[in-house]
Amino acid sequence: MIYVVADNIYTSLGFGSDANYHSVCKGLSGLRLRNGVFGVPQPFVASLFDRGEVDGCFGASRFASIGGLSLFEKSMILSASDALSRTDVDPASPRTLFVVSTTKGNVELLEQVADGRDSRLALWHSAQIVSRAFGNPNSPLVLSNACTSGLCAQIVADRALQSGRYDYAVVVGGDVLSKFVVSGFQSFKALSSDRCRPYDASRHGLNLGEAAATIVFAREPKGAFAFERGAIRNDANHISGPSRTAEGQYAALQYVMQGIDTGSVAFVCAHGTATLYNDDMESVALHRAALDDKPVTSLKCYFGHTLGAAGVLETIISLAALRDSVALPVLGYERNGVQYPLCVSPVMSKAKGNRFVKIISGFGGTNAAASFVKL
Amino acid sequence: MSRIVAYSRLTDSCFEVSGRSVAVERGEEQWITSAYRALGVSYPKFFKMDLLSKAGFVAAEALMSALGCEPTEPKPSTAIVLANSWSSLGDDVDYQSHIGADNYYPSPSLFVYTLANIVGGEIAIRHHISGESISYIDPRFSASRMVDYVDWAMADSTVERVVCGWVESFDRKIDVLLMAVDRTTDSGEEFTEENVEKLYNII
Repeated sequence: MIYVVADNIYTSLGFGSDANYHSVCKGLSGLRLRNGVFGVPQPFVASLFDRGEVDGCFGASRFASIGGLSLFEKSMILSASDALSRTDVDPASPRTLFVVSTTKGNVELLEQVADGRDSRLALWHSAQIVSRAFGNPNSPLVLSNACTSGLCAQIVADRALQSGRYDYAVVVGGDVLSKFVVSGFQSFKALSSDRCRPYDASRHGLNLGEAAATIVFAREPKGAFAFERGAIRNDANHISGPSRTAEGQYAALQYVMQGIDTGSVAFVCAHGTATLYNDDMESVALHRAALDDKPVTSLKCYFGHTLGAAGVLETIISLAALRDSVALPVLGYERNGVQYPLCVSPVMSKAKGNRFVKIISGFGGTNAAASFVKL
Repeated sequence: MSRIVAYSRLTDSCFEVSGRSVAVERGEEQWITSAYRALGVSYPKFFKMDLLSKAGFVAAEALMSALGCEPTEPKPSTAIVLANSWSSLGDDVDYQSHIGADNYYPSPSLFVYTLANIVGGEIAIRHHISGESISYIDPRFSASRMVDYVDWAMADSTVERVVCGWVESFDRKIDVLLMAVDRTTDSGEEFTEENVEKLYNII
């Protein structure tokens, strides 16, 4: 168990966890139709950073003198800086560890460096830029476990803190979009032509989003919320599709739920990408884990799928919902469209309990689950 | 103390499994394909994989076979912990060359390999390994980090064995060290930073 000290979310919906949470509560979505963006021939729906605004904020920050940074790196530094500013954690201490979660980092640089011979394309390089911006002496941990990275980063932060070598972990998740990422998901026919509809009968794909999100964790009890227990499991089934029987996600949930009374679970914040296979698989996993009577929410209709940031961002929004004892709505949800009907609602509802469960899955057959508790 | 019960070391010029050299007949084919053939197994999906996955597959095949593991036997208490420096950069470069302004043909079969953890997924599928699977990115091979990663994987109480190591194919050069580390065993070298470093440096 590790303790949540502070957090930050940076997306097109705002800067700061509160700003983003309030936007969600008001039913606002950052998803917009994009035409001709990144040189992608077909239009797509996504949540994108305002490039000028990020540059402006970074230029006005104490980090402005660090030159040559990408949007990805700037957004992560600004996010981590805001979270850390709400704590008395010394980011320059050897007892503080940075954990960075991302899938594609600066991959858009391949448009300029076709042969890939540029260290800025290395994920560890971006992670070092972030940790060094705060004067941290440790080599940062870098998790790149497809879409589960953000939750895996928290699971690993728990283990690193439990080892006793560190007092604080700064978990930063980030990803930005590019022609590379958007065209790839388009080639999979995985993108929805309008705002995604998680768990709905009419869902037909996901939307992508950009985000940076940070959680500062402490080893010693502190604050009102804790990361309780996590697990990572592989389907051992397919590299680009989930198990029909939800083997990996069910095994992860089974491990996380050991010794937890399901009556204490206020809601499940699922992955809910709104692809046919993902949402169906999650319904099987939640049914097998006897959690299908709990309110289930997906935040993809607000932020899109923010890849390496998703596990961090969605945890932070869920912590705020747990604090307020609410289950957040899935925008525009109308009719059940998954194998085992879930408690999905288009309006906000009361949610009793002092825990929530976060689940997430990704390419490579990877699944992760974790429980978070209000102390 | 956990121990290294088997290892495989694979580069463009060397293929060694737990102290024994594997004879690879060099032909017209890519070295990794010749190394695959030297194993004498039939797994047609191998030919669809990217270089990183092929390298991981061949090293894992040798490792698991040295342990006498039946590929189809379910292994829910085995974890896969991999690291490298350049993620899937070789595949990223390939994929990028298909999405230029004048030749826009994005390929899903290339895109799926543009993630660091797909090689772990391929190994999981082949050997029915359904425990934890995770991939880390480090500036260079680090034995001390590898020891941490495996210790952390064993924080999950279901994990009895960790298939772990370094799987890199930067600039088309293969550099793989895979180890099988068992939580409770009396055989094999102790899983220490020194012993991991020694295995990485056997070539």
